[in-house]
Amino acid sequence: MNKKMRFTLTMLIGTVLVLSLTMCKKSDAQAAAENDGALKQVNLKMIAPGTPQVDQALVNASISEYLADELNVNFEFEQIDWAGWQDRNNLIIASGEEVDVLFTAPWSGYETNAAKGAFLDVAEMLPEYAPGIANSNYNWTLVAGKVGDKLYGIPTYQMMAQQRGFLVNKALLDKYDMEFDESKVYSPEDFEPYLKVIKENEPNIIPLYTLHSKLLSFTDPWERQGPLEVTSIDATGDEAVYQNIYKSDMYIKNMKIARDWFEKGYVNADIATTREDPINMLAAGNCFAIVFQTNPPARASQEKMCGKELAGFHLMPAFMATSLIQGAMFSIPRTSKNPERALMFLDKMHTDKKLVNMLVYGLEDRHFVKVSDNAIKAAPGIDPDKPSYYNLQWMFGNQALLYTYGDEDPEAPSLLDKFNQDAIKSPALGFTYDSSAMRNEIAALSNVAAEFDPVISAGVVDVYKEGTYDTFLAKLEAAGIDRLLEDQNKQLNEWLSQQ
Amino acid sequence: MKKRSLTEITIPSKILINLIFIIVSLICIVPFILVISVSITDESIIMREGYRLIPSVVNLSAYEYLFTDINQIVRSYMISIIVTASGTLLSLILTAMYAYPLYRKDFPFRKFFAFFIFFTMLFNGGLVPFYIMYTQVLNLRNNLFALIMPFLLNPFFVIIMRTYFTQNIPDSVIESAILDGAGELRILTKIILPLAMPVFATIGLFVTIIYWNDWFMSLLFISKNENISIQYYMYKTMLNIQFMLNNPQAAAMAGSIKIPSETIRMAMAVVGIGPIVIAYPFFQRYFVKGLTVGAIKG
Repeated sequence: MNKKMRFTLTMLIGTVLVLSLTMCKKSDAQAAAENDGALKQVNLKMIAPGTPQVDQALVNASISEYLADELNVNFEFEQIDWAGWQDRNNLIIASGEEVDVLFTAPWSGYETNAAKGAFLDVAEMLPEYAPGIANSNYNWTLVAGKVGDKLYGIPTYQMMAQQRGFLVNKALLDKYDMEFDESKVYSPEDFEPYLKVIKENEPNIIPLYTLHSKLLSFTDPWERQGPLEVTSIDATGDEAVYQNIYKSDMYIKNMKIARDWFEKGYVNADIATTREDPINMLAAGNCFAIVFQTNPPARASQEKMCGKELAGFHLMPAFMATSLIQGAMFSIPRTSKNPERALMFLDKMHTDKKLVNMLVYGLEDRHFVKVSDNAIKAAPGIDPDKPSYYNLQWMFGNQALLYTYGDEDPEAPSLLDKFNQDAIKSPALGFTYDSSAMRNEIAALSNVAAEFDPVISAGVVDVYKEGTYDTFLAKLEAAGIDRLLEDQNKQLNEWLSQQ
Repeated sequence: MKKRSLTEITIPSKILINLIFIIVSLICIVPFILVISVSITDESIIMREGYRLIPSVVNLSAYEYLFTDINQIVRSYMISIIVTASGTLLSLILTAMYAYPLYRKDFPFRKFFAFFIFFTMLFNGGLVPFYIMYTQVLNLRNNLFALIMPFLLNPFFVIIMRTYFTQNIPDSVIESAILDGAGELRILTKIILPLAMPVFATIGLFVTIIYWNDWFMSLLFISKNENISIQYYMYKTMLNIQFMLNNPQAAAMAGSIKIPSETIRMAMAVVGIGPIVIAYPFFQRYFVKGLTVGAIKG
C-alpha cells in the first residue's frame, strides 16, 4: 500500500511538472529583422471578444507576412470567449496589460474605461497615421467615439442604423391572405387587425408573444441604451431634448394600446413574468408575431434561426443614434508601446479589403474559395457548420469591404451602406452623456423603474384606475428625475452650441 | 404469542420509516432523473409541453451538439482530472505540512504562523493584484499550474486539520514515538497520517470538489481553447449559446444550425457530473471507517 502510494504520488507530480512545462508559452523572441531604415519590427497585440479560432496562429502569421512591407509588425490577435469577456476585459485594463488594439463598446464598459483614462486620445494622430479613416465617407461616425474633444474609440463601420417593429410568421400571413407592405411604416393600430384575425382563427397560437421589457421599449425610437432608462431623446424627432420617457405622448399612447391588447388576449398572458426568449416561441410555431428588429439583414438572420419565412412590419423609420454607432469600436489602450503602429493597423482594417477579409474569413483556398469577385464559400474540406476560421462580420474595420459568404445576399454590403446613409440621424448624434454627477439619481430611478415598468408597460393592470401610473410618476419625481433631466439637457445644450 | 424483542420494530413503524426514507430518496433522485430525461427530449416539445419525466419524443440532438467536439471534451476532461487529482494530492500534502507544525507544541514560531495563515482568511489582495501576480510576475498564463496553484493551501482547511490533530492525537503518542527512535518524517508519515485518515478524507473531498467545479481559473489564465477544464468548457458553451440567442448578428454567423439550448443545459449537467458521482462513494468508504474508528476509541 505504502509503496504503491509513493509510486502514484511520484507519477502524479511528474505528470504535473512535465505537463506544465510543455504547456509553457514559447517565448516569441524573434530577432527583430531590421528593415533597412524603414519601420522597425514591433509586436502588435489585438484583443477582442469572440470564439477562439482553431487556425488563429496560422492567420496571425499570414497577416504579419502580408503587412510586412507596410507595417512590419508581428501581429497577434487573441479572441476571448464571450463567456469570459467582461471579466477578462476589466482585468486587462485594471492590470495594465500590454495591448495595442482593444475592442470596446458601451456594453463592455467604454464610457467608464474612457473616463478612467484607459485609452489613448488619438484625435491628433488620426490625420497623419490613419488618413483612410479620417477621410472615409463615414468619418461622421467618429463623433460617437469622442468624449469631449478626445477621440478614444474608432467605430467599426457596420449595420449601425436600427429599425424595429413586429416580426411575423409569413406562412400565417399568407394563410389568411393578409396584405403586407415591406416599405410602409405601420402604427400599432394598423397592426391590430392582423392580431385579431389570428386570435379568432387560431386558438392555439398566441398572436403576439413578448417580454414586458421589450414590448414598449422596443417599439419606440428612443435613443436609450438600457431597457430601464427613464429619460431619453427621441431619435427620430427634430428637437434634441431629453425628456421623461414615461410621460411622453408616444409612451402614453402605446401604454393604452398595450392594455387594450392584453385585455383582448392578443398578448401572452404571462407577459409580466416570462423570461422565455420570444424567438424560441416563434421558431416553435407557438406565436404569430414578436417584437424585434425588422431591417432586412436582421430579419434574414432570424429567418435562419427559426427556419421559417418571416415578414417585418416596421413600426418606425430606420434611425441612427450615438449608442448604435458605438456598438463596436476599437481603441488603443494607454499601455500600447506603439500607438502609431496600432493606429496604422486600424487604418488598414478600414481600407484594406484583403486584410479585413483575412481577419474575418481566414485565408483564401485554405478557409474559403472565391465564387465571384465579392462572393466566397467554404473551402473544400471545411465543414461550414464547424469552420476552422470564421469570425464575426460586424466587428472589424469596415463591414462594407467584406465578401459575402455562402448563401448570403450578394447585395448585402451595398445595402448596408444605403441603410446607414438613409437612416434618420438622431438630432443629438455624437453626444455622449457623462453621468458621473448623477450616479445616485440614476440608481434610484432604475430601482423605481424596475419596480413599476413590468406592470405599466405590459398592460396587465389598468394603471389609471388603480392609480399606479400616478404613483409611479410621483416616485420618479421623488427619485430626482427632474435633476437628471436638467443635468442632461445642460450638457446636451453645451454640446450643441459647440457643434 | 411471540414476545417482541426490544430491538424489534413493529410493522406500522417499519412501513412509516421506509416511507419516510423512500420519500427522501425520491426527493434526491427525481430531479436528477428529470435532468436526464429533459436532456433527451426534443427541444420544441419542451417549448410546448414543459418538462416531463418521461419524454414523449426522444431526441439526442443536445448530446450530438455537445459531442461534435468529442476531442475537446475528452481533452478538457483529462485536464480537469489531472488538475483535480494532482491538485488534491499536492494540496493535502501542503495542508498537512502546514497544519502539523502548528499542532506541535514544541514548534517555536507556532503562534506567529497560526496568525500568519489566519490573517489571509480576513484580508486578501483582491482579484486584480492576484491576476497581475499570476500573469506578470509568475508568468503562469496558459500554464496548467495556474489552475492548480490558487487552491493549494486553504487556511480554513489548515485550521480544521490542526484542530483535528490537537483533539484526536495526544502528545504522548509523539513522545513515545520519539522514545522509540522515530525521526520527524517517520512520525508524520507512519503515526500521524494513519491516525488522521478521516480528516484527510474530508479535506480531500472538499478540495476535490473545489478543483473539479472550478472554471474561473481557466477563464482568467487559459486563452488556448484546447487547454481549458471541462467545467469552463461547459460554462462557455452555455454562455456562447445565450449570446447567439440574444445577438442576431452573431447568430447570423452560426448559420441555420438550430441550437437546442434548454436541452443542452441539461445534457451539460449530466456530462459534467461524471467523476464527482464516482468520487463520493470512494471517499465515503474512508468516512465510514474513520467515523467508526473514532467512535470506538472515544
